Amino acid sequence: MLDFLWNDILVNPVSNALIVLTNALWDNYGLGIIVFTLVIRVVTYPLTLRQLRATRAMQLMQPRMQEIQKKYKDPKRRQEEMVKVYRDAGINPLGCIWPLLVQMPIWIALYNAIRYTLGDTPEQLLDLSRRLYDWDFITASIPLNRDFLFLDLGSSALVQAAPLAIVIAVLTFFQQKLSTARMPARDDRQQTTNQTMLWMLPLVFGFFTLQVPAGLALYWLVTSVFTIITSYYYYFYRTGESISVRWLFSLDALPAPAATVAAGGSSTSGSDGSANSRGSDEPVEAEVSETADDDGGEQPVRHESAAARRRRRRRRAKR
Amino acid sequence: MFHVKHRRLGQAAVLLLATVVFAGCQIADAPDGWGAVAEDPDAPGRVVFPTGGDFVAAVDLESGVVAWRFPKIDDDRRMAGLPADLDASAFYADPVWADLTGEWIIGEYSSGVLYAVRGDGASARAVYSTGARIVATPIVDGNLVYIATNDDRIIAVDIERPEVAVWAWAGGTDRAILGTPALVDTDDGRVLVFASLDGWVTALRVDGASAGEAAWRREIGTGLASAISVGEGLVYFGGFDRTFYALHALSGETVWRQDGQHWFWSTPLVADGSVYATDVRGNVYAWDAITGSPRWPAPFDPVEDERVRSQPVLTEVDGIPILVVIAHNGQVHQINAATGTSAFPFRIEIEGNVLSDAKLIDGRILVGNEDGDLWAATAGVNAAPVKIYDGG
Repeated sequence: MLDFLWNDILVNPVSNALIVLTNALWDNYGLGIIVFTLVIRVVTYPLTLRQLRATRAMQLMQPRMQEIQKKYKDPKRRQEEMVKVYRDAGINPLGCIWPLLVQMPIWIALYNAIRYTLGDTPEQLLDLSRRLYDWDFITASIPLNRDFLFLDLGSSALVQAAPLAIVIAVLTFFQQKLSTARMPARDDRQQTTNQTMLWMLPLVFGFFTLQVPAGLALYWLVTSVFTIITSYYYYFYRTGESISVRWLFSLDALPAPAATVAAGGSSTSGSDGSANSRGSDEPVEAEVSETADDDGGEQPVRHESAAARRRRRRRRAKR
Repeated sequence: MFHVKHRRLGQAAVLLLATVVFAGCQIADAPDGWGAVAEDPDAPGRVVFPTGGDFVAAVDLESGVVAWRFPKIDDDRRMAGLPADLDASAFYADPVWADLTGEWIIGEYSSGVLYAVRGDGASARAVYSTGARIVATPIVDGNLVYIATNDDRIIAVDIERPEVAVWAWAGGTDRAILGTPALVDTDDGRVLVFASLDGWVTALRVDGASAGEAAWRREIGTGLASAISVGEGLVYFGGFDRTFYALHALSGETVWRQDGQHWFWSTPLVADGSVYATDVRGNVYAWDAITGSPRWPAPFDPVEDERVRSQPVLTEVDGIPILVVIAHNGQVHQINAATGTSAFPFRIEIEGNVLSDAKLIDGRILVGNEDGDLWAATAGVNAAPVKIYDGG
């Protein structure tokens, strides 16, 4: 059953589509990988957007979280307060993971489709035969033309893998940098972890690039560029914020986004549009409120959402 | 409760995500190799067998005892004459006996190094480093060995003068030569014929001053992974365009061609005026070797839609020619070669997956599986195949 779901529903259709696309693109497998990766990324963009929104909302909550950390010394109480803030804001802490989980099988299917269609080892090439649909124009188009620019997409020779590894390491750094730009550290330990990840991940991906055929490296490259563009668009371009080249190459995080502090009775609207109001009997209220429009843009604002207002009115009416 | 529940959910989600990523994004599959077993001409009852792992073993057929192992004698020691840090990844090429020096010629896949192992397994030496992967079985011709590489080169090496190429041909398009070439006698001298993944079939002269030059080249226009078989002055092979070809060995012109139902990859078998071939979906075909007319009313179509790469074996049971085809899933199909139908009402099965060619040795069909086990089956006998050597 699992084999059927994975191979017949995901990997095999993706593999065959990749071959058809390659045929359509003048038998250029490199172009096939690039276009197909972009198509998959665009198709799954709504999920990516949900993930970005959830991540952004979590980031906007950070100042409030930091305050709670400072205020409550008892870990249990601290946790309760944090959860309360998330709940009141209508933010699910797992909200940035589920869209990722849904997209992950698709990306992995694409990754594997590229592996299978490359046929790096003789067994892989033979195995590809059972994944192909019984159409002449598909079966006869194997092996695919693996030459692309100066690359042999089926080779992991150092002469082409080394420059690719450097490019991918740099892109991974930028990708990490942009996607975690607004992620202020809760404490020194987390800051150290964040900084370590900033240079560690590029090294890991650079090392992987040296081990795999260039076709897979091309996939990573396209994916990185796409992620960089979407992250920049979502986190900076839409909010009108600018970033400096100097910051881009540094290990530092950006300062936390401007938080709106409202004493008592304030409310928070989460990225998913839900909101809750809280009673004024809570200790120090420092909240970030955010509204997210349909196309993903948001601004920190000083008002509560309509949903939150409705809930507050209902509570008043009950009293 | 809320936060505990969510923290656990979060941990579970991250764990699941990491598992999915690691399970799904395997960097590369380790090659297993599919070199076939070979009979030892110097030691009756012994075979030399690439184990589907990282070594080649000489195994006594009766006792299953290993006489020697290459390149590792055991987990820690290498065979004499080899560097201590030498490791092998896989053996796709069959071991070939070189009568002149009394050595086994073995091509290692990843390193692309051709080795010569003394017949008694006492020592080994590197003969030539190609700098590319080796999948096709080397051809031994007196003191010369012709090596086909994964970057579309043919290299002629003198086994008595290591590391010196007598001649090399690199006129192709860098695509792999996966199928074993064949040495063919023609009216115009001997030629080495090979097919490559770029869709070209090439015949190289091997004698005289023009050795290493192309006698003819023929573009088929589809991927070719099949080994070349020879008979009746023709060369036979199949392609990824589901077509089986018979070319004139002298000129390279097409004599006949027949359609199949999927890729042809296994080595065609030429015997008794017929040519037998299997496609990767397990369909078995028999054609007249000269005219290409089908010998059977329809191809033999096994129930299982299983891959076949193993070369068929032709034997005889009670005067009936039996074609034995072993599928990837270990099913042993015994076909009446005269009629193209199942020869016996029973079926036997080898454990594990089989990709290597089967060999008929001492009346038994010997084949290795991907686990590195060596199996023996007897045609026409309703008994489970015997595991001669356990690859562990």
